[in-house]
Amino acid sequence: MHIPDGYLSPQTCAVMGAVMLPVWWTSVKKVQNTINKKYVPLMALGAAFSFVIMMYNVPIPDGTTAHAVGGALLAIIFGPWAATLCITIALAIQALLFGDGGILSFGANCFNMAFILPFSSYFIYKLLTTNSEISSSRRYISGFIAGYIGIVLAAICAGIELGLQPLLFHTAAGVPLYCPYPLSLAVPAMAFAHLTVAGPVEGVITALAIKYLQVSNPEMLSIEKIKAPSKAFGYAKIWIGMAIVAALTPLGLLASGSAWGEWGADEIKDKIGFVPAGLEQMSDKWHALMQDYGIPGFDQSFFQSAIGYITAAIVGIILISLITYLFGKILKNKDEGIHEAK
Amino acid sequence: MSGNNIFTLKEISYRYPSSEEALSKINLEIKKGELSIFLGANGCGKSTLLKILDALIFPQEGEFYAFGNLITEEALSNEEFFYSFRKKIGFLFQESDVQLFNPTVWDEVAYGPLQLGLDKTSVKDRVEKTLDLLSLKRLKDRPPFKLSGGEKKKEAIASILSIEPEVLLLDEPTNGLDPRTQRHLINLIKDFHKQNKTVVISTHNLDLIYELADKVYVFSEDHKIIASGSPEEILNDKDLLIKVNLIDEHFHKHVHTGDHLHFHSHE
Amino acid sequence: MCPKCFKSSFNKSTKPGFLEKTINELNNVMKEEFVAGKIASRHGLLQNLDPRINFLATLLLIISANFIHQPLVLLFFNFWVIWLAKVSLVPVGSFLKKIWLVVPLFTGIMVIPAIFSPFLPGEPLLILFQLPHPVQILFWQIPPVISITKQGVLAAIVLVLRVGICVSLSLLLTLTTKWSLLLKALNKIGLPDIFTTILEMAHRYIYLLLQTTVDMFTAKKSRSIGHTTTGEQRKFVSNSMSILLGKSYFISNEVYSAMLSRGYNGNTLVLTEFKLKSFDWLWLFFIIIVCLFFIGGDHLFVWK
Repeated sequence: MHIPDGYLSPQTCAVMGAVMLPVWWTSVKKVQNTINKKYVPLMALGAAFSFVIMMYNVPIPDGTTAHAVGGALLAIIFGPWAATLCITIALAIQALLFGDGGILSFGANCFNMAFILPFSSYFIYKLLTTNSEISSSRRYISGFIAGYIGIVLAAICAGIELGLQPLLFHTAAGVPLYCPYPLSLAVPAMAFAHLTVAGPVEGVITALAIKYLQVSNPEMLSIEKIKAPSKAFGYAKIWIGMAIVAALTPLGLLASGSAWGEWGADEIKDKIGFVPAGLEQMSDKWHALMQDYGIPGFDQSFFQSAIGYITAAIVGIILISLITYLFGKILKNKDEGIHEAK
Repeated sequence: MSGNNIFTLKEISYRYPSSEEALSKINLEIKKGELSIFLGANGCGKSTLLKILDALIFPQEGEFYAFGNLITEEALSNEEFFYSFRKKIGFLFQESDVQLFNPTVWDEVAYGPLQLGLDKTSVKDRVEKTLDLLSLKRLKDRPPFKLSGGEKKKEAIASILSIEPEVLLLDEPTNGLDPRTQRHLINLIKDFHKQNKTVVISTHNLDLIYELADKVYVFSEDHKIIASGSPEEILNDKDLLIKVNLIDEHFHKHVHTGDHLHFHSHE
Repeated sequence: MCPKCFKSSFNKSTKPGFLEKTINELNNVMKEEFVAGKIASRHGLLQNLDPRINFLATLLLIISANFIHQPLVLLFFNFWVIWLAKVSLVPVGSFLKKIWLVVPLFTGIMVIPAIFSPFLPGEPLLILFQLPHPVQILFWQIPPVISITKQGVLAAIVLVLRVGICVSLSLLLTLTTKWSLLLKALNKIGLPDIFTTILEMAHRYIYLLLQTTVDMFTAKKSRSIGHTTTGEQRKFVSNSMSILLGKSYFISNEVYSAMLSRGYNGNTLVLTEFKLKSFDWLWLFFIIIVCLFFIGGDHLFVWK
């Protein structure tokens, strides 16, 4: 599912790159804190491993072969942040040193394969294997499910990125400028291909690898738990960063028009002359709590709108943080559960 | 403790993280300018002991002194001490590939001096000097994966000689080398030793002993030192060598004109 | 589907096909690297550039190509890139083969359905046949008139041409820059030291792991007699992955010891020196003009 250059508009590439910047930054910080000084050679070898794995031909039932990414396996063994870093590096080497293309679409490819894939696989694996022994069959079955779902989710994201292109970037006459397939085709096509082929491959590879390690090298399955005494990661820094971003959101008001992709139904009608049927239905149903990001009755002057924006940002951040925190809590409790069981 | 000792080991024991025993109650002293050989079959712990000497791993029991200081993880967390320690010891790994982690030969030889705090110009001088010494100049821009086994070994040696250490620790240095490269390496070690530097070699290659060693320590398969002495003493003790699985019953000496000895076994 | 997956679905194979395939692909990687190194040492135009400028110029060109939509302009752009290759002493024959036998194959084939109206509505160029009424399959509505559309054909041509440009430029960059300098160049432009070091080290160890894999697979191949099921083959592949993972982890610990032994204390230091010549600045300036020229030309041809 590597998306080559030319399929995504530069704007899309820029946005995906921007989205990945904080992810990369965080992954470096996280990895530095947990594996300390050893992380340079470990990430380098992990990336080399990831690169080589992507080249393996995996035989599939119809007599041909397919490729796996190995992202789920890396995340399960080394943790999601380390996996993000390793796969990012492997993708960078593919693009730069092997002329495989994907320099502009690097951000999008990283988002799909180096973020969505390892993180979703990791969380699913953790959720399913809590309180289970390292040698249990639950481990590798969960590995299969984690790998399968992880790569399907990544593929769906890729499908969305591709499918949005004709909607947003076309000539007045309707010629798509980049990927020509709309969401209604791109997403199901990517999903189907990965549900039937790449998904099982990734899942089976992950499962078999775990099974093999259970027998030959079980210590590898608990590397992630071995953490060097780490200084508490400065969550304060993240809060400050988010506060700054929240405070800057009113700047969006000054830029005229709406952020691309975030048009209301009326604005879409102006842009392309009709309103896609789906959008029309959805816009009525999802009557956002804070319509148009403002507090009703409080959006007259710019200043009031700004306050509205900031409040919406803060509420959004609080909600996201809460959910992340809850997730973390669930995992932590399950981890403690395992320690107590021993 | 004698001021002339580079390394002093008292009752050193080491276990792997998997709790497997690697070394048991090791005691020895290595003096400045000595060339010692750790002799033993594979798995007896001699490589592990070398790593302890370079403070790459730390023993669970016992005390290790180097250059008069007690070496612990804590002691090395002091930056000044860390750098002065690392500057003095060069370690040659058994597998060249693991110590050739830089993109080119030039980068590799520059790594040590650079990390140890030399300025750019001094680094460049050191690199040029070391590349000349080992005739690696024409390979300086090559990546390690484009070198032959012998060239990689030379690159590995260059990478540690460029830090101008006082001590060389060599782990199975002649493994897998062709005769010419092996000869070149032995000559290099001799030159280094002549400058009154200390050398410790771990090997199961009996040929090296007579040519190089001042002192030999013999390791048994149960991870202890069971004998130490001069090369002649050890090489003449056939029973000892059989006991530690270094030779078999057909082992014998050949003496050639030209005054060197061969030691080997026949089928 | 990624291009490799798509390609492989055309190669029907049975054991030992999959072993051979991987071995060949891996050997090709090592061979390509060797060839690339040779071309990078030639004294062509692009090789003369400071690698930072080469990278920036390539980036600018790729970005510009993505803002150009006229097929004619894209075609000229392609010719210009081929000229760039020639002037940089890149063997044009194999360059063309590598780009234009591959790009039309996977991009072209991927985009063919878009020519037809069921996939992309538009003005018909060639009507194929008429259905009595539209057909609905899940999300997908097939219109009654099935034709090859103008929009579809244009979209396909534009995409194939543009992807061709992007891949050509990316390949040219790889071929004309000494790989050891490319990463250092990125470091000078702003890539943090830590990423540069990890990238360089990862690249170096790829070859070691590739060799390990080839050895594992070749050994397996020589031991294989008779028929193995795809299940067994899959098991072998994933076992190889696990072995490789264990080996990678082991190597990383040894490398860490080696780094420690020579004074590594958590700081990554990169020592490089690049000197910009006036040639570099001239080239950059020229590239900017070229980009503006093509983008400008694009706007001149306004099509409905």
